[in-house]
Amino acid sequence: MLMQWKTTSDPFFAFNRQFDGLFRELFPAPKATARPRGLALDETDEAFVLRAPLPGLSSEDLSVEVENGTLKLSAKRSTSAPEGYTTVRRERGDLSFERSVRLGPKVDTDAIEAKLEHGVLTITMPKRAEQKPRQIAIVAA
Amino acid sequence: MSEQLSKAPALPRITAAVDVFENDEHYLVRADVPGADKEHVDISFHEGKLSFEATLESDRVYTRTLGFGDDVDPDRIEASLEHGVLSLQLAKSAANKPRKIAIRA
Repeated sequence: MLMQWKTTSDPFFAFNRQFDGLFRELFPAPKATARPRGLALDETDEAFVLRAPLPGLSSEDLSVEVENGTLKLSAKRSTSAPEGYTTVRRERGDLSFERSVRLGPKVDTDAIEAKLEHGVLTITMPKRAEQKPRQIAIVAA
Repeated sequence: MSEQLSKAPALPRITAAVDVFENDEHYLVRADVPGADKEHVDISFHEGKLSFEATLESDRVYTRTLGFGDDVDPDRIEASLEHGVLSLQLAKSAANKPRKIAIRA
């Protein structure tokens, strides 16, 4: 009997893993507090949708590039004390990162869209047409 | 799904990470609440404790309570929300401000 093995060749497995690690790096848990649920990668018939909480970032602080099937993300945030203030407590980290992830053949890289709203980055990666489920009409005989 | 939501299951409560700064006049609190908009943030100050809750629809609640004692004037707290970061400016109460005492000649 042949079994279809669910392999980790799925392009988003590595993607997810990398970004999970990335998230831990960006926002290490403050002591004795729960770590926010980080990244969410959802798959619909139409697209893969990645949501990443990046509080404090405006669109100028963030760059999303796609080149040769690779998604490149880079961002910076500074949480230093404002002018004239001294620090009492510090849990939010500074942030500076640059990461590249290969997307694999399922994604229509020309149609990727990124949105940053209320400090949450949403990257929508539509699937190529041939990857979407298709309803086949049955012709009545 | 909508049926489940109407039963209002308890949302996961996340302790928001905060930075606190101060100068002679104010405390400044900054908290990460990614995804929150201002219609869904509740802030209160009661018996020297500052509390906030930012509720993300059907997803999670960011919350935190910080104690300031009588060091803060409850009537002079200002809040703003930008890019998923809640900023709170709390004026120190006059009684606790450092005062410069002039030495008379």
